[in-house]
Amino acid sequence: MDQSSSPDASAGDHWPEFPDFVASRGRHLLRTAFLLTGGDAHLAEDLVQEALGRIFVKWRKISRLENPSGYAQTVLVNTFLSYRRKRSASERVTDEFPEVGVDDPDPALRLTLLRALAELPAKDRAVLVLRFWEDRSVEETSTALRLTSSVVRSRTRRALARMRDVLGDDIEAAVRRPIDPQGAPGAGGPNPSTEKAVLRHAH
Amino acid sequence: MPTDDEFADVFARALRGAAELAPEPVRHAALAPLAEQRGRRWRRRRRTALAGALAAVVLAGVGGFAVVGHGPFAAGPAGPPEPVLPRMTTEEVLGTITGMLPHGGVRVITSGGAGDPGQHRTGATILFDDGAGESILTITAERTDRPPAETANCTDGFVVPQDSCDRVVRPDGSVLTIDKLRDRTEADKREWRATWAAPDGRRVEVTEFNGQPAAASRPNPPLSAEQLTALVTGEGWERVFASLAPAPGGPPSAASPAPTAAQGPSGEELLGRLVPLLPSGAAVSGRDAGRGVLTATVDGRTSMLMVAVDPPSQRGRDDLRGTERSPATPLEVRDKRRDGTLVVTNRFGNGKGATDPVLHWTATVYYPDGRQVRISEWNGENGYTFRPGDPALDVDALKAIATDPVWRS
Repeated sequence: MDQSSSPDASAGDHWPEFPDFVASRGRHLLRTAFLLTGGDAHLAEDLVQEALGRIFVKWRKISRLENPSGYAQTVLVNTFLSYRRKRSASERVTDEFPEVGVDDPDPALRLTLLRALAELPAKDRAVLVLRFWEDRSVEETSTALRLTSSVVRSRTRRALARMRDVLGDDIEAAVRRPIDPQGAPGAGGPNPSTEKAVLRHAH
Repeated sequence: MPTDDEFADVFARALRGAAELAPEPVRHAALAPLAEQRGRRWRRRRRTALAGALAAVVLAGVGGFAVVGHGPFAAGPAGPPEPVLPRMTTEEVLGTITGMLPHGGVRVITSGGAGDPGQHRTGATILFDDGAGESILTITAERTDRPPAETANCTDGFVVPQDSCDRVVRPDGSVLTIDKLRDRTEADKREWRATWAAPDGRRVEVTEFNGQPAAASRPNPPLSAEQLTALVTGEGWERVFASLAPAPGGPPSAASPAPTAAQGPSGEELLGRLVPLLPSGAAVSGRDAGRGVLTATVDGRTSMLMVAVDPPSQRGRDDLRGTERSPATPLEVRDKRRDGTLVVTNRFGNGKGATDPVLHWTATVYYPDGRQVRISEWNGENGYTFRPGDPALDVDALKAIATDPVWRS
């Protein structure tokens, strides 16, 4: 067994609590990135690694902040906004997907929502994710994105209106649908959307 | 018709539902080491860019000019037009992958095509069922700008529980790594990772779980080491790589990497100096020279110690000033010496401001020339079994070690 490590590993700037931070926040960061990228899992992972890499080099200072987690989210969003590679249409959530332990009533809605997000300008997407996923105030969002509060408000309005256009009335019906006591989605028979999941057989 | 506020509430709920679709398998165990690696690379590039920028200033003085990139996501200097790559549809990439898998059921979570201009990575996340239950697999093929020495390594077993890691350099110079990891807290979760990396930057990685990362549903992941090897080294990847553009930084240089700026003594040297400084009777039971880590038992208490020494630098001098200006965390004790040296001991929990329970014990010496000596301690055998309680060495003992003149020699 060869336990070789990267040549970098001998660099003397390893801060002990960084892995703990990543272990506790990595999942949430990935989800944020997933929304920011409109459902591009590979790019989301890339962004999270990039953001965490940037956090790592300043970890000594960041770890002293009152809210390192919030700082990390901001770094992630700014990493996303600085990502200038031409957006590839290649890596997306597919039409066919399994139920993977989710409790949202309408899987199809989630796909539509991700696609609608992906079509928004990057900054509008960032505004929506910070406001409605991160639950940040207008002021916090404006600070994170270096925008004025009024710009955040106008972008929020515009982006929400766009989402409403795309998602239509389905969103309300789907999200407000009651959840049965066991937490299973949409009581009353199978959801046609989940039947889109296609079973493929290799060989 | 909901009002705008009502719609915003509904949208927030829908957004949370959409976030649930984010696949779990993000190489959880390896995320921190990968981020560290990327951070160090980013820092090196920034330094290189700075040096390049200085050179550009000189060039500008004699009528020339230069363009300097700023990190991995930045567009580089305008070059020749990108070659047109053969396109592969999502279905074709998926078909290639499933063609290299053993017999079983496949359900797709995400998948990608190849051949977009500038696209250097593709892959898929699937649920694979070998008959014993579905497990998540993430498969990624990419062209990187880094050699196998940086992209195909075993995860540090001191940080993540590891059943085994086999790393083999193949005759063609490519490296194959099979890393079998466990979860830091839940013993039944497994994460097996196979990586194949070629000297020209091509890299295939497969990560598989025993079920889903959040919920193990079978004893082991579905693909054996042999099956993982067959998958990451399969001939099917040739077509995929033909459709992937070079990484933004180009393929790795054939030349050996230039030595980086002085980084201080090696981990082996550091541990050699640390051991004699331990209290008499201390027993050393494990060591990882790569990270400057060892496990020591003193009076029946076992802890992991990590030592790091940075040579004098401007960054270190900035750190010293920054530390003095920053507010102290609750259990932090600062001792400013006459010669300007600052000695800081600290105890904290899950976060620098947390004190209940205390999980980390540290002593750091900031010398006026920027040199730093850091000793960190976890109350446990490694980086994942630490627990509250009394560690092998208290902070005063750590302080005595960190301030020893041996680190300055």
